[in-house]
Parts: sequence; C-alpha cells; structure tokens
Amino acid sequence: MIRGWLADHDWRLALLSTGLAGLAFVTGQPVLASPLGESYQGITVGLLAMLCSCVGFALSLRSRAAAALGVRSGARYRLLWFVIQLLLVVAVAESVSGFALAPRRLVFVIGWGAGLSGLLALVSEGGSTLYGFLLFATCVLSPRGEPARWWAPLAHAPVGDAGVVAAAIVVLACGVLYVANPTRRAPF
Amino acid sequence: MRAQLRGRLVWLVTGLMLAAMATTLSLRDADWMGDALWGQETIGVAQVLVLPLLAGGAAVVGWRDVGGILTLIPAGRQRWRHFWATFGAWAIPVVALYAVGNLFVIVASWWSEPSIPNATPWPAITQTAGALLVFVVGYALGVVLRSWLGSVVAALLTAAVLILDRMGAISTGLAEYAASGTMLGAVANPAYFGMRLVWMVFVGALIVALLVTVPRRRTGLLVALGAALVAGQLTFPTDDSYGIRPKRADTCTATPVVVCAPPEFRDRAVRAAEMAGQTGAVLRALGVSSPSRFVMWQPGRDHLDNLRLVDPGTFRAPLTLQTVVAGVVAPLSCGLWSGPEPPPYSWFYSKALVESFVMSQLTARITEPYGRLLTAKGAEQSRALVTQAATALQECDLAKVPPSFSNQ
Repeated sequence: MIRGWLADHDWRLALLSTGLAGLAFVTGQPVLASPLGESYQGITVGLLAMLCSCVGFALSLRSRAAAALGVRSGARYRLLWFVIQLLLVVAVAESVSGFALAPRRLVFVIGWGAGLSGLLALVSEGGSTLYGFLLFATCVLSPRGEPARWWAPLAHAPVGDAGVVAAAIVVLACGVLYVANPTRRAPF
Repeated sequence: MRAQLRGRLVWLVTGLMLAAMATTLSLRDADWMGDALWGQETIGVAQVLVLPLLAGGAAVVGWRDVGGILTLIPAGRQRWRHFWATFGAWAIPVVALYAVGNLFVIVASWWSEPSIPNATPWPAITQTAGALLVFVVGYALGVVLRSWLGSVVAALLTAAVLILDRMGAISTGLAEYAASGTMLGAVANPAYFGMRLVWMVFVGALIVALLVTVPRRRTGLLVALGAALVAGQLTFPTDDSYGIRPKRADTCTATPVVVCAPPEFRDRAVRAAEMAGQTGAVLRALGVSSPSRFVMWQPGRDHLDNLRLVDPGTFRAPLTLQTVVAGVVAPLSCGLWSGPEPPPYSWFYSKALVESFVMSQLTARITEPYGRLLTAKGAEQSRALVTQAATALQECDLAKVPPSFSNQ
C-alpha cells in the first residue's frame, strides 16, 4: 500500500500541500498574484495549499494504493485509508487558518472542497479535473473586501446550516462509495 | 464539423465559459453597467478563468485526435482539413459567446442611467482572437503530450501566461486590459489592438502549420514561432490599449452655478448645479465665497474645479448631496490636493469639518466631525472655526487653517 502510494502522484501533492500549509501558518497569507486584477481576491499560499490538498485527496481515492486496497483488502482498510486522507485535508485546512477554523466552516470546506472532488473522482476523472479547475476559479472570483460567496467553498464562511449539512452528506457519500464500492478501474 | 458540434465537450466547455463570464459580469452588482467599455473590459477580466478552461478542452480534443484520426493522416492536406473542421466546430460557439457577451454589456449599458456610448469593437475582436489562439495552443499541447495530462498542462500554462502577463513579468499580447474602474474618457488605441491581433493570428498560424506539416519541415516553423514569441515580448511591454481623450464637448448648465459635463450627464449636471448652489449659499452665509463654475470629473481633469457626477467605482450609483458638497467646499484646483507631498492632517480635517457643517445645514441633521466640535466649543466658537477652515480651503492657504486643528 505504502509502495503504491509512493509510486503514485498523490503523495507529491500531499507533501506539497502540507509544505504550503506550514508556510501559510508561518508567513500568514501573503498574496502571490491577483489573476483577475487588484480588485479581486489574489492567490495566497493558503489557497494553493487547500487546492493541492483537495485535488490530492481526490487523486488518493483513485491511486494505485487505493486500487490495491480495493482488490486485496477488506472494507476496514479502505475506511482507514479514507480517514487518513481526510485527516490530511483537515490538518492542512487547520494549519492554513492558524488552527482557528470554525467547525461549520471546516465541514463546509472539507465537504465542498475535498468531498465533492473525491466523489467526482470516483465517478469520472474528467469531472474531478474540471471541478479542481472550478475550485481555483471560484476562489479568485471573489471581489476583494467582500465576503466570499457560497460558490467559493474554499473561502466562504457559511451562515446557515443547509450548506454545512449538505457538505457533511457529500463527505459521507464519498466515504461510503469508496469503502463499499471499491474501484477496480485503472487508476489515473 | 457537424459531428464535432454534436459532441458534448464543446458545449460543456463553452457553457462553463459562459457561466464564468456571466458570474464575473454580475459581481459587485454589475458596477460597470452604463459604461459599456468597462463592461467589455470586465469580459477581459474573465479571461483568466475562461481561457484555461478552453485550453484544457482543446487539449482533450488534441489528445483524442492524436490517438485516433491523426494516426491515419500523418501530414498534409487531409490533416489540414481535419484541423480546420475541428477548429471551425469550436470557433462557432466561442465567437458566438464573445459576440453575445459584448452585445449584452452594450445593450445593458444602453438602458442604464447614466449611459455613455463608448463601446468599441476592438476588445471584442482581440478577446475572440485570443480565445481562438488559446484553442490552437491547447490542441497542439494535447497532440504533443498525447495524454489527458495535456489538458492540465494547457490550462495551467494558459493561466500562468495570463497571470504573469498581467503582473508585467512577461508580455505576450494575449492578456486584455481588464479594467477595474470606469473607462470614462478612455479611447481605444487601434494601432495597439491591431498589432496584438496580427501577432495572435501569426502565432496561431505558425502553430497550425506545425501541426499539419511533416517533422522535417518543422525546424523553420519552430524558429519562426520562437521569433514571434520574442517579438511579442518586445512589442507589448506596456499596455497601451487606451488613451485618455475626451471625445465629446461639454454642455454647461445655466447660472448661478455652472456645471459643465458631456451631454449624457446633462440631468446629473443640472441636479449637481442645484446642490452646488445650495452649498455655495451656506458658505456665503459664513462670509466665504466658493467657485461658481465646475466641470464634471473625468480622467485628466483632476486639477480643475470638478464634481464627481459619477462614482468611478460604481458607475450607476446615484448622485449624492455629499459628493457635490465635497467638491464645492474644497475646490480641486487647489494645488495642495495634487502636490508631490500630501497636505498635513489638519487640511483633511478642515475639509471634513466644513463638509459636515454644510451637510448639517442642508439636511438639518448634525453630522460628524462638526457635531463633536459643536459639543466641545459651543455654537459661536465652532462657527468661527468652520469659517476659518472654509476660508483656508477656498483660498488654498494652509496658513489660514486654525492652529488647533493640528491636535485633532
């Protein structure tokens, strides 16, 4: 399993995201570039860390390691794999926010960021790639000085419960689909 | 071409491009509305989202083709015909998308108040040409990389080029001007837009030629492509898309206070003249005279006595009394406002104080900081201080600001 993980793409993304998260924790949130201009949100180290982490999570569910678990191991190991990958995303999200992320925002970020891209990865790799791009797009599409909208999950602070509950359901659905219905298709 | 148009990918990608464009236009309550050129350049803002998506989609097409039909037609006329059909199938919705986007901002601005007729075909032409060039680049990357990874590489490369271009690190001619405020007074520079268009067509043609020719003939084309990229770097180091040239002569309102503005702002000028008259009357009651002639603020008129009849950040925001009062109590022809060194804090405090005094008189509601001064010093002394501050502002004389204002 470890060899499978190391032989695949996702460990590099996981390593990159944790490195970036550490950097974001130490340096704060310096803006690296403003793709849409100065009046829109820029790309920060923390945002890059979250994007890498979410995409890495999606890839990890389709990695050779995950495929090996699907063929040889029981559901318990797949659940363990899923939880470890999810915890990695949680750790990145927490470090990016200086370990001060509100629980509902954490669930929202994990659900609509990692959960949905993971779910899409299990169903269609093209859909997952596209969603990764859209995640990036939604982050930089928020005007500077205004709170991020609901469609920018990595930056949005939810007020109501509906989006948070739906995000939790997405994560659960992703977990159930992965654990109960292991993929035997060729990995990425 | 018809078979390609029946595919899902082209409609999925252009649908997402439309969604990204529409979202960008709708942000901040569509603050460009009324200023059609600003709207057109807001479509340019969406380039960083729209073009990587197109590049990714094109790379998928290239990847499919290189493992499919292109294996049967290694080079030559048939390959050219196939590419042309594919390009045509994608060009139709892409051209339609930009045409609809640009027409939408023009029509929406037409119905807005205020509205300025400053739309130009140039941004629409270069935006469309840029999108078609990106399609060609994405397709070529898909063909070269022969993998789904080509879509990621094409999207990231396009995003990186656009971001670095906007940051000024590189200059390719692909990135649009992308305005973040009003384009009032801005006039397109056809020579610059034309050069960008020629450059994009040239680079696109070279890449297409590389795709359809046999490998032994590609060296010369690669050299030409490299030369074109270098030429782009040298030709577009600064964005000269627009110059500031007021196109339309002002019309002026009648006395006692004259406000001159382009004809589209006639209604606002009349209302502003009325408000400026009321402000002048309050100042006269203090024994201070104020200017009786103003022009509407436009880029390049910062040194004249001007009134902001429109908010440069939200074009269709209503004209407010406070904006006019601010322009009358502190005439902008005073060199202190535009000098190399900013004036001291007491100067800004004087302006805020006189402004709040006039607003209090006109709206019968005490506003700050005049309210605080009134509480601290009493009515008579406050009035004397406001008079001194108003005189200093009107005469552009820093020495006449009450010395006690330095401690505020």
